[in-house]
Amino acid sequence: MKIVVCIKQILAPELVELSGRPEIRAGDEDPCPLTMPSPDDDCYRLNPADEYAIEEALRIRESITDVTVDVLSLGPERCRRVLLRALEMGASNATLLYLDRPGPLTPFETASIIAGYLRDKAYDLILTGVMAEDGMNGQTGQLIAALLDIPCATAVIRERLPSHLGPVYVEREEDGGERTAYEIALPALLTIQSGINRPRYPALSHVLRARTQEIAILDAAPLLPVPRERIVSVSRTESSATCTFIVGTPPEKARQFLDFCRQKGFLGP
Amino acid sequence: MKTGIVVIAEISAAGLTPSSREAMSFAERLAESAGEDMLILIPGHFPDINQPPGPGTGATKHENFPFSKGGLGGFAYKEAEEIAAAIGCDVAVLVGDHLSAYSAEAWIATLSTVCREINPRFICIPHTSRGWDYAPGLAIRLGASLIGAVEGFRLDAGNFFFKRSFLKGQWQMEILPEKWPVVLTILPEAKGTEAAASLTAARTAGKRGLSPRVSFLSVPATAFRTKPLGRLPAPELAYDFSEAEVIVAAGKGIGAAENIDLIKRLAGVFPKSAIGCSRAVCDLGWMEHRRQIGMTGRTVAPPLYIACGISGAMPHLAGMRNSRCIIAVNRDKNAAIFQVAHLGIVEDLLTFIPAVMEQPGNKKKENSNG
Repeated sequence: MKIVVCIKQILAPELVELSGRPEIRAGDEDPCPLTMPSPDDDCYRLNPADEYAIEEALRIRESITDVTVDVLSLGPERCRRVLLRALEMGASNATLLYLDRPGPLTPFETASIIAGYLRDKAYDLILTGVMAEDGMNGQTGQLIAALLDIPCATAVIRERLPSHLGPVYVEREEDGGERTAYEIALPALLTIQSGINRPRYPALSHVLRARTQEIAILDAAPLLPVPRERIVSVSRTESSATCTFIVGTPPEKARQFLDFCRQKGFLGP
Repeated sequence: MKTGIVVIAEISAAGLTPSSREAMSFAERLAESAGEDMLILIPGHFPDINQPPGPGTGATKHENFPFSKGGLGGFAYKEAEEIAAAIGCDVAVLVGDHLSAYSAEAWIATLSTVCREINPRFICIPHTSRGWDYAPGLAIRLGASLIGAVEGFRLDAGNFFFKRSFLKGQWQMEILPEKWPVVLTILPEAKGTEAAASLTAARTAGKRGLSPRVSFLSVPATAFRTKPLGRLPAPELAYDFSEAEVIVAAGKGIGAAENIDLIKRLAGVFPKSAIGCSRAVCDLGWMEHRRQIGMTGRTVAPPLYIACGISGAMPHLAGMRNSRCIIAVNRDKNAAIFQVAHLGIVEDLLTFIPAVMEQPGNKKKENSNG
């Protein structure tokens, strides 16, 4: 049985300084309104939800025999780092779909490239994280499934695969934390909700093995689709007009905070 | 007038869901700007409707399907009629046994068949755990463009630009769709959707001098690879926040599990308080899942909400933005939480909370709450 986990290297929101150019209009040549940090900048990391997806795949491999877990990422050279991390966790093989294009891809572009690559690979199960923390779209997994015409469950918070043949039992998390259960025939795609498991720390033996493992590289440019939507501008979210900021030393802030609460009657009589 | 805008509504036992109303309100503004008509589609299973007659393949054309009232009876028709009257536009109820329990596969198959016939320019879907789930598949089936978690739109020289947030709500992007139709998932509280239904009452219908129609489309099921097994009881009893006047909520910004104690101490300052947290804090195991506030947790609206080290990404805001007063404490002055806060404190929690506890009158208070 073949499982592939699609993982993303994301911009860590709190680490990155972006230079927005708010006045980019539709039709401008430059589709890249975001200035990405350089590869050396330590502002990239494995998307947290994807780490849960890797862990879930490894657990399936440990629960039934004859399973391979491959990992896949799309992006420039620096994405090797997240693939290496997945190998260190225990993934069997890693592939980088190489694309060095400035600016973020839309979910449709990402999904089209990945689906194009996966189409003839005969994976039984495709896992992704529920959402990338940088783009916050939560669409790529569903789009890959739709492009491959396989069923899909999102926000999977529990999963059981009794055998290679499937079906896979999943519980998906809905609004308010309610759960709905499904049985899905294989091949299928699951987007994994964070918190489904506790991702492992890489074992030393895997870390050593991962260093010697090769990461396959494929040029993704030929798989780029005609875009269906275009990011025309990015800007910092304007600061709120309704928020009053307390200034001063910490004790002054604390006092004003308590005064405010007292005035509003929250501190009791 | 051609139906240019379709809204796909969700209903619950209590009727139309609030997020559906907000999507409708957004769509109404879009309809006005685009000068097009709007249609509400309601997929579901309506057990008290006799299965409507119809040809065996594809969706029954809605033009041919204005049901006589007598043939229906019960909840669904009344509900649909009320919606039609309140919003002032046509409502089509999609009927099929396969729609009784939600599955993305069944909804996508059904909605793509129906939408292909209607051929609208915009398809507005509430950004819920369902809408967000099936919208991408629907877009692919229709060859449509897709924009998720839409907060607002702008019409400029005939082009529609849609606004959405990214990077924890600190940044916004504008997206131009380049393919028709356009599938949109609409965030609750999207700009211009406030005062949802009242805004639109009978307006569209009044303009046309027609009363809105309610129709029923029978949609045959095909073989599906997804089998819904039903809803599960919540794994653990949700914490009851309803009695709390003040909710003190912790985000990842508190830094470590042991700092939860600080949150408890801050909550202890208020007589009727409870502690909650963001999803990230639960996932890290710092607090129990039953105290999670946000899209996949509880939705709360206390008189006072104190957000501690919470960045304010959309999923969390969805669960607390209707709190009467919001105070945010965060090291990052650009944190999106300050967008919804009334009072903002840019400070490290490890500095701020001890400073609060040092204030006269607080030193003796015990952390008995929460």
